[in-house]
Amino acid sequence: MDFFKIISEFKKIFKCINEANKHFVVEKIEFELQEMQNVFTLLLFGAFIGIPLPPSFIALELFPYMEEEIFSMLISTHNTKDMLAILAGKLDGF
Amino acid sequence: MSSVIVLAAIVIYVIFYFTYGKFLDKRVVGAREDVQVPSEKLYDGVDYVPAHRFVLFGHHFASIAGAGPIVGPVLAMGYGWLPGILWIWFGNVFIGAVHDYGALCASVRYDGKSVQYVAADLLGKFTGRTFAWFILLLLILVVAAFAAVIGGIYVKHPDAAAAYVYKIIFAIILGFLLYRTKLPFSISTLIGIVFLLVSIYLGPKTPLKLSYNSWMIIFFFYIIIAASIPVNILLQPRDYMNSFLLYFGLIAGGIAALFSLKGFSVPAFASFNPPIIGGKPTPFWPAIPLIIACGALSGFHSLVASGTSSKQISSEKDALFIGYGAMFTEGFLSTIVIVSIAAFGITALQKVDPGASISNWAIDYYKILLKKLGGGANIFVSSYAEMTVSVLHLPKTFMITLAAMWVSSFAMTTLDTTNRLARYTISELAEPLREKYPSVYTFLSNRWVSSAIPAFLGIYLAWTGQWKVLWPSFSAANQLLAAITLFTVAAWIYKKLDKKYVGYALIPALALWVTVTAAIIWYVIVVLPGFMAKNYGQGIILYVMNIIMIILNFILIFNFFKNKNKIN
Repeated sequence: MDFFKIISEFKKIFKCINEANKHFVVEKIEFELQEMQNVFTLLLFGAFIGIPLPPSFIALELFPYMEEEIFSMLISTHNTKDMLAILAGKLDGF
Repeated sequence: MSSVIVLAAIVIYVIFYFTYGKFLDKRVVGAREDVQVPSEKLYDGVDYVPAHRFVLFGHHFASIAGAGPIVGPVLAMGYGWLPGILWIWFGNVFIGAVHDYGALCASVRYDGKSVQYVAADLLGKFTGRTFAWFILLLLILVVAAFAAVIGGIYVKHPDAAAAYVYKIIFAIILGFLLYRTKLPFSISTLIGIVFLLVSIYLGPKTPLKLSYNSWMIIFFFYIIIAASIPVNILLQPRDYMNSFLLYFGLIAGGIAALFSLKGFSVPAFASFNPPIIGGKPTPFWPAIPLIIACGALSGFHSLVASGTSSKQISSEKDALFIGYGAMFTEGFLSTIVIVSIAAFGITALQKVDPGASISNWAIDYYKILLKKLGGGANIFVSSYAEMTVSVLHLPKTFMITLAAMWVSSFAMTTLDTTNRLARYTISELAEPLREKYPSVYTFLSNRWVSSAIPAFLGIYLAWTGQWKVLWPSFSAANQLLAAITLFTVAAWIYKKLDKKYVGYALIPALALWVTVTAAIIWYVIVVLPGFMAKNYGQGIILYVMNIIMIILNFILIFNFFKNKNKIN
């Protein structure tokens, strides 16, 4: 194996480690972002679940733009009573 | 000898991965490529996202690795180097890795639900609640044990304390660079690594000398503040810097242990009951799981496996590599700890006190070596530095600060992690009070109150400085959490897979349950009275916590056999 091949193998390993690190720390931001998104979505569409917030016509006007957020919220309702492990998986252990 | 042991560890791990691990994968679990995993079935672009197996392995490992696999083996060295290493390897292969892999697979088959949910589903709601109680006890005891260990490191290595403070400042700057400037990620990464090196360089120049109790007060406020500020300001950039420290520490240690070619100056076997926990003669059985916890097996891993890893796995076939493999990597870290102390512990002692002599290893290890080198993880710091310097020829001061910062950084991140988790756990456990006593529920689930409870109790316990008494309590809670997970996995195999393979999870579960229960009873009868005579308040708290654990433990085994045959 020549020198450049060894260097390129090391580069690959480093890239992989870095990707894993990035993945680990970006998850933390995503978690907080998701929490904020949930609050924002509730703020806009609270009327749908009985929270009298913005006038319903504004909510309806914004409805088509919130498809992704509402879908993501729906999926997360799957885990509302099961958050501890999700949080543990995003933080540092021991 | 050091090289032989490191090579033996690698060979054992590889052999058991491809034999026992593959057997569990193919026969017991029956992992298949064509089954839809939660990341495909419930894809949401946030929690449920398929990740590459190497990336997920790194994520999983970064989540499970901490100071635990370092401190436990340090404490167990009084038995000699062989008993500890055998327990690590045996525990890894037959208990710890099976536990992590089983939790991951069960969660995958349950659409990414946590092992706590699976336990409640298979073994009754009360088992799910028991799980939450163990987590709460574990989180308080983690704060206590880790604060005591870090306090010991910072008193002995004020350079590492200063380096950590620099690292916090640099982490905040790195966070600013990452999120407030348009600097490319690769350049920010490079800056992060430079920051890390500068922190390690500056630490010894400006050591931060404070007393043990002053550190405890600082930790109390640090835990609450660090757990309350947005993650992008401190936690995230700091953890990003930490992960480089972890990989560098592990790779440098692995290479140094492999090529140091040094004989062991420590006996292979010294005594069956050296004076470890609270200075009392500590029998290897049943006490070993209270001493070596995370390096051999850890209940906390089941939360990580069923929290993120199960939701992001891209194929059932990757579960073995991630769950089983990451536990082996953690065991390898513990192996390096034992090798470094066995080969370089005496050298490190002679550098501090050239006249010191060790005649009876089982006693002198605790009375001379741990005392002279500062107790806790300091012996690892000194031995690791000696080992890496001898092979890699790096500056010694730099390596000492790096090793001290490595251990303390991981313990520090754990402190604020536990607080974030405790907030959720306390709210969950207080839930039944919501209707009957709404004001009590509101008080307990308040963000600051639920943060202060584990921080206060943990630091109050750590105030004693008795890390050799606190550590076993933390380990007990962690190991019993592992027992619940193994019983859950056994019930899962029994009810949902093939009954004839239940023994692969049930035998380790029962062995662990019997051993840890016996160990806690021994600890309560033999160790705690002496501790309580000197520290009454803390002694009462430890008594109560351990007795709760024993009671919950009996309820758990009763629930398992009651629900084992019930069809869900």
